[in-house]
Amino acid sequence: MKKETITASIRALSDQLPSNWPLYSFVTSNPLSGLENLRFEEAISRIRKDIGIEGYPSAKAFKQAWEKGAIDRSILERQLQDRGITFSAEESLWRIQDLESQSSKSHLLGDVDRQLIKWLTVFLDEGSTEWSMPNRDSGFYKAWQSTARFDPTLPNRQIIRSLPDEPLEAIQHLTSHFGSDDLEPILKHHLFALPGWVGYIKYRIENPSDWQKAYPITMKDYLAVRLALCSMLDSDLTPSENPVKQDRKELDKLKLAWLTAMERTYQETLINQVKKQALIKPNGTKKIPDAQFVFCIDTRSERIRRAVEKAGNYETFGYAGFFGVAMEYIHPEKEIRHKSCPPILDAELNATEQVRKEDVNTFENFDYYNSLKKAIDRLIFSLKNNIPASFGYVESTGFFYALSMLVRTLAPNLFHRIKEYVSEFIGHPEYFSDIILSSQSSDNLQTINELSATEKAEIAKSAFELMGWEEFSDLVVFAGHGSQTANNPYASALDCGACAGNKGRHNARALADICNDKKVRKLLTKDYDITIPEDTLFLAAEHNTTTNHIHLFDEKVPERFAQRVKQLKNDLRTAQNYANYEQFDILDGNQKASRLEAARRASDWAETRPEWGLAGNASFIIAPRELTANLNLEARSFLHSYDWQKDSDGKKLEAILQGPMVVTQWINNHYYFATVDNEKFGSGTKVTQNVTGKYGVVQGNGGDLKFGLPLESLHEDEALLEHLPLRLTVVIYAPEQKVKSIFASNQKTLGKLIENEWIHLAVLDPQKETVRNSLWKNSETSVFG
Amino acid sequence: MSLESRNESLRQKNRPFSTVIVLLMWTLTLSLSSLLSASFFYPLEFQIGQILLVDHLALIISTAVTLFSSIVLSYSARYMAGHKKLRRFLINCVLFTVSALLMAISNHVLLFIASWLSMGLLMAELIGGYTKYHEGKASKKNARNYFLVSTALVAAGLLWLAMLTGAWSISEIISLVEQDRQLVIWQASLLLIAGAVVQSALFPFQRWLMSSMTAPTPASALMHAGFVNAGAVLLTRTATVIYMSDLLWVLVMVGGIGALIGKFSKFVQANIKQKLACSTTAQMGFMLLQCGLGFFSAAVAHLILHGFYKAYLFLSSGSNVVQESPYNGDSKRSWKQWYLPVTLLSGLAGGWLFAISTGKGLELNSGLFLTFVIVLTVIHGAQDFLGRSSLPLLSRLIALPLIIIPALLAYAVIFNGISVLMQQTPMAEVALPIGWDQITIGVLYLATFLTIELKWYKKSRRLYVYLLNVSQPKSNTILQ
Ligand SMILES: [Zn+2]
Repeated sequence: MKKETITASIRALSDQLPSNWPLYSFVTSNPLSGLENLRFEEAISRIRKDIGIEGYPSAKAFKQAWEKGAIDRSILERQLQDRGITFSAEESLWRIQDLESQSSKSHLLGDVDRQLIKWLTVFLDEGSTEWSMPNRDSGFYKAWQSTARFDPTLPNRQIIRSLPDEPLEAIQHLTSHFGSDDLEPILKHHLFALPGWVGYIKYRIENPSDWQKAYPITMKDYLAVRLALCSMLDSDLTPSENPVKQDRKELDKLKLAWLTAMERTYQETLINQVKKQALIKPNGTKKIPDAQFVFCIDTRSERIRRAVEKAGNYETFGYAGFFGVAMEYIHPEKEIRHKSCPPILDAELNATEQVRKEDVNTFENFDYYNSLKKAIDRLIFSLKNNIPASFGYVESTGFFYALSMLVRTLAPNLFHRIKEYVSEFIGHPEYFSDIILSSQSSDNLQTINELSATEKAEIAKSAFELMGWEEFSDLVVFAGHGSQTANNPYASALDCGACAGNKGRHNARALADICNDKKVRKLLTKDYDITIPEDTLFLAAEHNTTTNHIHLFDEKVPERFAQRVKQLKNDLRTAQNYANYEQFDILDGNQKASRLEAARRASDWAETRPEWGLAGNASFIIAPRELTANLNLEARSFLHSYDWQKDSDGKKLEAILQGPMVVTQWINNHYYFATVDNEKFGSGTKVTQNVTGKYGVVQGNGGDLKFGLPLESLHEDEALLEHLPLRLTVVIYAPEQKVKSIFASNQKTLGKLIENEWIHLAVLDPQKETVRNSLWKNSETSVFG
Repeated sequence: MSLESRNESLRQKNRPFSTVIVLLMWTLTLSLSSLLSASFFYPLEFQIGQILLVDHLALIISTAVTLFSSIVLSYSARYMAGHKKLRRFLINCVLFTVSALLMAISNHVLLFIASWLSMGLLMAELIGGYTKYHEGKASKKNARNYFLVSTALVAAGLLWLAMLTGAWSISEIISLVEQDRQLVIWQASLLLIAGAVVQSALFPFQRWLMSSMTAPTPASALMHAGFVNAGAVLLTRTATVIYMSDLLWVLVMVGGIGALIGKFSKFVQANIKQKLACSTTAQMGFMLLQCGLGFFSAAVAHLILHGFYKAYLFLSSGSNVVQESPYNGDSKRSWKQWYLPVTLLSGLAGGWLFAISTGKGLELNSGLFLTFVIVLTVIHGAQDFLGRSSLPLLSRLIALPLIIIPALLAYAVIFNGISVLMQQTPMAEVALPIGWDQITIGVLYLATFLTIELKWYKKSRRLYVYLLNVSQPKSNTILQ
């Protein structure tokens, strides 16, 4: 077969594969994103053939939802009827359970997989081994070729020597006895054999990090090595048929009915609540708030926004947590950079820290202690990896490990205090420097071409326009968010998804600086008719989603705001308590308990469920805050501020749907699949996880690299679900016609998501006062009130 | 409906149960550690028939084991709060601890063997009983086979001695055993040493440890801090016999080489738990080497300190996800000629501090080896730290002693404490004249030290593949 054909079919096949992001920058993506052109249920059947997955919630999950009242009987029975199922609700669940019990078991790892994983593990390592794989810089296939020839556990090693030097030629050579029709299924079978590892290779190819640049790996490399191993180990290249059971179809039909009923039940309650709010006419004049907050659309913001609004005269907005600044943040203390914008966007800007003249001392302090810390870390690494120094090291430090272990186990609160103290002592970049944004095209760190005022004004403009901002209070806070947990390989999964699994503080700082820029304000007034009062101050902040503490970066606040900021901090402490009572189930409103529990969760190394992240997410509401402000949405809704009256051409709504909505859909589908198939699309229990290469985990002794969230992020305990797997319901408060036309003109990207039921859509039309829901198809329209 | 109905969270339900277990274990730990502190002033030793012997060694080991166990239980109660088998797991850990305590105080040969066996069986259960069925079953069976072998070896060795002396308690055996039955002593010692080597997962018996990551993280902590050390306890108890057998050189060679292989195979590990396992076999090798040098007390100190170290690393193994740069390594290093004498002098000063504070290495005997290790440690640390040019030179020169001195003193205090307590344990600390075995290992270590400093080993791809293969888990213990 021709090389070009092989290359093309590898490319087409890898598009279907899910990408597997590194855990230090965890992205909750839809593992089936390559199949969004298919209907939801078809995509599941398709992927089931390649990777044995379940795809739908289990009978147990349905049962729990049923008992909690999360599935309405009449809705369910209607769903069953519509699908021609004659069972009653109970009978159908019985039937699901019966059919489920015949499902398959897990398999032991085959020899080819085992050998391949052995090499992938050491090749893909990102800095945890003292001695990395020889010849790693020449690429996976070549490195393997030159090293595996010394591997006595491999039979028929003469094959390695007979292989061509280029991976593509090797694939050609190894599959030469197959016709071109047979080849594609073979390539597919081998690409899908280890979806976790291959997904990580896909990630590395799509996001060429420094590691990928230094030690490149391609799908061809992977396939060449795999096929060579098959041939050496005498394993058949052709896939064995995976017979689909007869009653699988029935099971899928039943489950889809239950799933849809569960979603419908949620939607009815939600839409009824929101609908009622929409009918309330605003009364009288609006009081100008003491301060305005912008939070991420994240579901956890819903809780803190209610708390902040309750704690004082504050107004809150929802906006994507990267604050419209599509940037890559360059760490001042480490030689790394991280993407800080949604994974669906390209980072166009570089964010570099520039030390403020007046804060040089603070910076020097920071720099000094970071260097010291780094030197000590390297010293420890080096001592541990020496003979016989490692023996001496263990003996002379054992005592200190003992002390630390006792404190961390018995007094995580104390440990938290010590850690906070040290961290404050060393300081953070935001205390002494400003973010300089520059275009990434000039990727020369020596000469930074700062963004022009015009470009900055555009960023600010989009923010205020998308949120439908009306009037500015004299204090506006942009609050990014991040989590704080200990000993948690999935820490970044709790950080901001709109910042590609990183903390949102730097983006917030960038936008606050932009808005405080006098030149930018002038341009905003001149070009966009957005007038920010001269007195208005923009402040950056970060919402710690584990402790609900909101940290204001108030180092640069002018004197006249000192009193205001002090009051604000006080109120935020109150808000923190309100949010914590809810988050930690503290019923008696005990402030001390709330504080202690927050500190413990942030620092307890034995806590596998420090916070629930986005578990429970079920809807995305695009509407002004008035529609949701009086509701307790239980931190299950993404909220984006939007005012249809300020969006005559629909461009703003379109931007929200193309950006934030797709991010929420990814998050939601990720949570769904990680919950229903925790072994394949989640990473199993943390209890037996084994961190590999500093970027991923495997289970137990090894096996496929894990995807997705662990069991502990989704389950209250091994059986009880915390996250009810529902497909996202997008609620839009805008004229129906406008929404329709946006989806129509973006059919290939947005329309297909609704049409293929990856998510659901409900439009509340403010003019017609109607609700149209994609689930009701086009038949029914119910009138408000 | 037939589905079991449960809406209460397991995490809530298990809380009272785990609290009670945790409190009980901490109470035991506190009592034992106060007893241990008291024994510094009021030496303690009593026997219950020929069955139990509570002496300082037993007390040290018991305190360490219960302390490890308490930490592991406290941790597990939170870490595994939602686990279906949490209660069973906690009880399993408690029973394991009880077996280890029994081993520490048992004097009767049969009781010793029984507790050794039950430790093994309970550890096998911890390894395979709490994960997915298939891999769990395979790794449990695999580990159990190794533990049955180690029990058989220990049983054969002890019973052989019992038959020789006609006594059934270890203390009696030691006092009755006579030099003239060289062959029996030799055979029995070899069996005991072999049992210890298997238990400590020393090369070539490392496979069970490399396949034990099916265990929940806290169980691994207990395994690496407690279980693998039993060999050193056995050898310390029977030190008199081992001395008579003239087989200490076997310990020196097997331990010394096992340590080398373990350490080198750690270099190529990318999985954190595998890395820790390789490190453990290396540390166990070093511990047996210390036994071989006649410093059983040093081995006991090592097993405790290593226990803390390794338990900590297991319990914090989730924090190993970090974004690094491939260019991090040695980019910011600079080396000036005059660093070398400073480095060497620091090494000698460290060695001197260790020697005067512990009394080892002041004379020309096997104690010198322990000091030698410290000297090389300090030399390596000093050369690494001094070369970090990102830090001001003055800071480096000041920080170096500030790091080294407290660390060495902390070790010396613990080492001396254990030495003092173990004075009554027969033959726990008898320095040996320098022999060919020590010189061989000494030269080997020095050569290895240089090889590592100069990164020579990185030239051999054959060695790389060997190390990678030697540390692979058993094939049937991995799931797809
Ligand atoms: Zn966010």
